Amino acid sequence: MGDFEDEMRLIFSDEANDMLQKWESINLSLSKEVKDELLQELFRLAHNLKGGSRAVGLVDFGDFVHKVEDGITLLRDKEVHTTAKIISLLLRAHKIMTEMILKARDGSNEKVEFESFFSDYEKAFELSAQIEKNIDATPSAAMFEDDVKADDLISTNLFQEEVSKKVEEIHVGQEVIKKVENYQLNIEPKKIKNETLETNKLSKNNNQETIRIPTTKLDQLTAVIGELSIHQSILWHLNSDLKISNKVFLNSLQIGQKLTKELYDRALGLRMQPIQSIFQRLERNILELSQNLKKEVEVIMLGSDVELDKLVLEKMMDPLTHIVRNAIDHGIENQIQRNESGKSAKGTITISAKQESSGVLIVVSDDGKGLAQNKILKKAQEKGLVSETAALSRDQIFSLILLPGFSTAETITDLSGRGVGMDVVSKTIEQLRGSIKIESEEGRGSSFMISLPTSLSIIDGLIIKLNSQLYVVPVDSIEEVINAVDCELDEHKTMIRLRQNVIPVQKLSHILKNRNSGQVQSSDPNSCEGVFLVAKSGREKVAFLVDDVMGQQQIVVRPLNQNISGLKGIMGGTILGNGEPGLIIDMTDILSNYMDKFRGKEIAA
Amino acid sequence: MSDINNMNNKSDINQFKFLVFNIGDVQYAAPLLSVREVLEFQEPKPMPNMVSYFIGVINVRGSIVGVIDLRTKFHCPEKKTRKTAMLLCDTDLGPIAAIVDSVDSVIHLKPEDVEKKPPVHAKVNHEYLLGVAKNRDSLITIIDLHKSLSEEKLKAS
Repeated sequence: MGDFEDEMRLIFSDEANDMLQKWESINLSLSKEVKDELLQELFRLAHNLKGGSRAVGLVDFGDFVHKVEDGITLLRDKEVHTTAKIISLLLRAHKIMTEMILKARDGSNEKVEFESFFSDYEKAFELSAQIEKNIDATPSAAMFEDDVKADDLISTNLFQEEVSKKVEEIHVGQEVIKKVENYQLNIEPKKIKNETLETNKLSKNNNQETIRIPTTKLDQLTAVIGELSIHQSILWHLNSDLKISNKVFLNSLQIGQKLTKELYDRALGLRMQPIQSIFQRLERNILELSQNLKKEVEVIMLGSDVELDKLVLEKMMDPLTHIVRNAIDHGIENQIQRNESGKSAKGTITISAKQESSGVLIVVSDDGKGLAQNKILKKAQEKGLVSETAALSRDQIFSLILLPGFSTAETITDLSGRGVGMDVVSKTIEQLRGSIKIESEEGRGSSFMISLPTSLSIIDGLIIKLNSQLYVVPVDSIEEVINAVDCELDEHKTMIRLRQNVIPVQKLSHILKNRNSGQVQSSDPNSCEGVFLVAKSGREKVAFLVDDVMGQQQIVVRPLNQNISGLKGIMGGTILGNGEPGLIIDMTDILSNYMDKFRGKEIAA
Repeated sequence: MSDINNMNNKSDINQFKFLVFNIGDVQYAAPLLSVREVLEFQEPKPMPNMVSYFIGVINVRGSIVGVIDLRTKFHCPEKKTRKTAMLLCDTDLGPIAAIVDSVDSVIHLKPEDVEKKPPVHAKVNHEYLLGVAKNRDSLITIIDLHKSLSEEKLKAS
């Protein structure tokens, strides 16, 4: 195979993925309401996929789509009614096509099995066609046997005149199909308002012309602009040192500063994508899972146009899926239980995204049975994750489920299973420098609130001094900054008292050792001068002593090359305003290492 | 390209070129193509918890580059002079800068001038040694900068 063909395939697979994503969203809309435009659009998609795949020699794929397309033609021409069953099969086709594209992209010759799909597909069409036929003919009484309302309608029909009778019958037939649909779907159509909003957006997106750019090119651009902004800030610093009073110079320096910032913001904006793509996949997961578990679930999605860095989006898919699955599986009760507790038979899951000053807040909430505080606390005590005497607040108790080792197989029944893999969820969020908070009321439901930074490459940093060197600490990793002079220290200088809490003290210079820093410390090992940075992880707080805090600044994070990356406690580097390189301290990492050591000591003692 | 065996390829004249530099009172040479550029000395910013000869990081036009002190590594005193320089090299794990006492010149060597891996007693670890060459009247130790800069663990344990 030639390089050219390879490249064509790659381009096609990118396009196909876009089309398949649309395929999915159309089917999700169809499951709420069947509209002619949607079927038309679906047909066009199938046709394009077929044409494109054959052009690059993916014959199998083309044949598959061709067969599916035959079915869609019938739907479009109204020869067969679009049932929920057919929609779920079209979603299954989506899964198969995605897999085929993936294989084609990797150049693997493995075949994807789809024979069983087609037998189901054909059956569903026959069945639907059957119902269609019944509409044309006089509806048989047997069809409506267990439907009182339909029966009533038929009896009124009997008194109608010949001409109107036929029309009425068709109406009845469709009524029945709607019922059948609702029964199978178990999901009420989403609020119309939401949906029209969504379709509007769909058409808006269509009008925007797009161009495909490899992310490496974007990264290069961002890197160059980052460099530019560093030099801009060097100029700015120089200016304040040299005290140049030339107005024209100052003016253009100021404008340059502004333009650089705008350029940087825009470059970062290129990496941003609406959260819609995740929401869509989550919705589909909910649809599938609720069908499997036979629970009625209504999904409400808000703020799907909020944008996040592509990397953050990709990383968040699994954690969010996990939370949503937990919510359906263990949060939302079955219908009998819901009736007993006086709730509507249908559960609701709300997923919302909101732009906030510090980043994006994603909230997943359900109206299920909520988390049982007592049970969580008891379980954590049994597992030795928390001491018997510890007095914990509500928040602290809920965050226990995020600890590794909290949950085991048996707790699934005891504790509604939350906690299986929740530690992975919390770790992923921590890696993205976000945070998670849980709120829950027993019997009412739970909410998982996830705050994420909008972008990974620019952060708010505190410039600190340590061993007479400047370092950067991300602001969001610090709870508070306290002057050591204002602190109540114990005699061994190992603890401080802070608003009724006793917090252990650790000199950061003992963790981040420099070659020559040894002598400085030995001169006065017991001195406790400087500033405490209080860091918090879960329930634990530690005060780290640094020499001084110099200021706060927006920091462009530069990845370190492999020679020097992966160091404990260092998450990256940056170029400071004075042109010197600065290292960014990973407080979360340092804290968790400190905790591990501390625990180790406890066990040893 | 850092391997002396490749020198048989006569089509590329650069492969016969070597950069000569001094560490302590010893003259060393490294294949010219293994050095990306020679930088003026700039004070490295210390990096915590690293081995003694890894002395910190510097800013090379916006990117952060680690610095290895070849003087420490080759057991010579660190004294900073006007001639002290940094050699920026690309290793498999990214760029790294090496501090040397001074950079001398670029020389041409014919393959027959180079004695491969002579059994000499050098201050340099044998693994880093590519050979010894005769240049005018003196002997030059040819070292593999890639190996001497990238193989070792940089993190102090």
